[in-house]
Amino acid sequence: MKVVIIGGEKTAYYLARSLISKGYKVMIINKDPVFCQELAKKLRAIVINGDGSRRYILEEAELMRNDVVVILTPRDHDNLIISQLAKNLFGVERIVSLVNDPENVEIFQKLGINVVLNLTSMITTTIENLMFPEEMEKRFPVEKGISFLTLEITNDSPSLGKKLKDIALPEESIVGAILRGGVLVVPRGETEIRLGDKLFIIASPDVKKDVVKVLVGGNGR
Amino acid sequence: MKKKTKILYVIVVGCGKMGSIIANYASSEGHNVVVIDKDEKAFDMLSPEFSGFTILGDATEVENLKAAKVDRADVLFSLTTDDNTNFMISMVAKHVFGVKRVVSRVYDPDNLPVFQEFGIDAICPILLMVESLKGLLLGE
Amino acid sequence: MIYQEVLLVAKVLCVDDEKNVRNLMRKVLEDEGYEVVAVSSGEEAQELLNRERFNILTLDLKLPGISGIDLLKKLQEEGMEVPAIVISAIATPEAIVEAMKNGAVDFLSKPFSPEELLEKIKGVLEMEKMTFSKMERIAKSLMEKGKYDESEKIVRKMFSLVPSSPIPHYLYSLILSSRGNKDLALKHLKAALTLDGNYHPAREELKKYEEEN
Repeated sequence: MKVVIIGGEKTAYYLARSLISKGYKVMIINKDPVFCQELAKKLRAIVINGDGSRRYILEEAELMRNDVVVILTPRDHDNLIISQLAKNLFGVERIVSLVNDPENVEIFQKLGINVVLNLTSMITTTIENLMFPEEMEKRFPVEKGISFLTLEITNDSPSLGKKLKDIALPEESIVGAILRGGVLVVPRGETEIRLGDKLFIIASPDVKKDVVKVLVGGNGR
Repeated sequence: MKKKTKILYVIVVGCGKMGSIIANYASSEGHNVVVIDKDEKAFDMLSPEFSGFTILGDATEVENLKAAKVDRADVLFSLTTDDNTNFMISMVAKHVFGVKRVVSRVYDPDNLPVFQEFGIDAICPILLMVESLKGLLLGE
Repeated sequence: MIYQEVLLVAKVLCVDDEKNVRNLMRKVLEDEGYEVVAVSSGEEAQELLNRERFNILTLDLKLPGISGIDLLKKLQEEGMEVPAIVISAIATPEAIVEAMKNGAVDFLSKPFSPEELLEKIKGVLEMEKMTFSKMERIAKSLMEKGKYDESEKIVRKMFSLVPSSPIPHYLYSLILSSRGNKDLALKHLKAALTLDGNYHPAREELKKYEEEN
């Protein structure tokens, strides 16, 4: 069982280094001869200089069914065919592929690639999450007497596991939205508060402290 | 003026020698033709009588296939000079948009099995040539 | 009487900077029996519209000189009544709304199939045909009420809509007659019959003249 890393540059190097330190057997396939030489010097891994989208290279690599193939080239059309060669000609079951264009994620998934990483989408989501409080404020301009709270639910939160309707929130407050695992949940009475949830609350300044206490206890933030 | 054969919606990706000849032919036969190429100059290879559409763009980007209304295509020819590019375009056309007939140029005979595995009709110029050469060799 | 021939001998002006699109339009429309003139710029189109009569105008938004939208605006300003179909690769809601706001009668996105194009053209011509016969009715009813001046305005529009129809000539002859201009009225009656020898109302009216004189 080996991890075969195809394409990519710095990422391939760091990934290989990390995996080797954890004790995995790593093989690298890369088109760039200079890069390959460097890697061969720096890492304890088999390095093959060649085009991973060519069948004979994958044969040279002795790709096996139980290998893990990681595809990191910056070109989706190369990644796609490499994944299909690995899957269909060599029977590899575990394939991780970088997908550069978010529009292409669907195709890769449709073609049975287990794990598809799209950096652009991930960063976009992260940015959107970070911007959410500002987005909220943009949409509801802060008037005198309105506070916005962002609270994260931890293991100590008294509201953990409770349904919204069962939580004694003060009158002048409302849970506007819940961000759960990067997905926006519209809170309803039946919505259960889960670990890791980020609650976005609109409240009047007078009741802020009570809201915090009821949801996360003490000085939660 | 009734046409005997059905009129097809044909998309040709890659307006090189092969692509332009197919596009010109299909157009002259009365089919609806859309040609996609990422190089504007490539469209110069189309005949003056060409009566179809051209889309300037990289066909590996789904939005360009959508602009060509790929979901309506009866046939798609992927004729770029790169096998991997042709593979991706063919796969998207066939397995995401359901185009019934997808034909791809395949340069490297080693790649043929993968294309065929996915129901993509593959034309390998090298193999075709080899067949002809074999024929010549045997004096046909 | 509805003038059926409107659909068959319609003259279409196509404006598109791409040669292959002009070729396609010509092929599809001429096959269907329309008369087609295809030009590659808004300026050429304007020139032609000033000189000749067209039943329909198709134009792309993206043109080399004056843009499609600006051409539409100009045509509106100059009071040109030719219905325009915008045919563009840019089919966003914004583009469509802008085109319609500036007087386009319909919108078709590229690439299109011949069937789609013909459907749109026929649709617009049908609309014009309806407008034409509606105008005929309104013009007649106005005349019955003695409102000849108002009727004349409508009849004039009918002339530009369907130049080959005998109906506006006939109606105009009635208007002229009411004003005492018998000579000119007669000329228009004859024009109506030249356009269509079988146009019954004109024949009847002519008979009346011949009986009177």
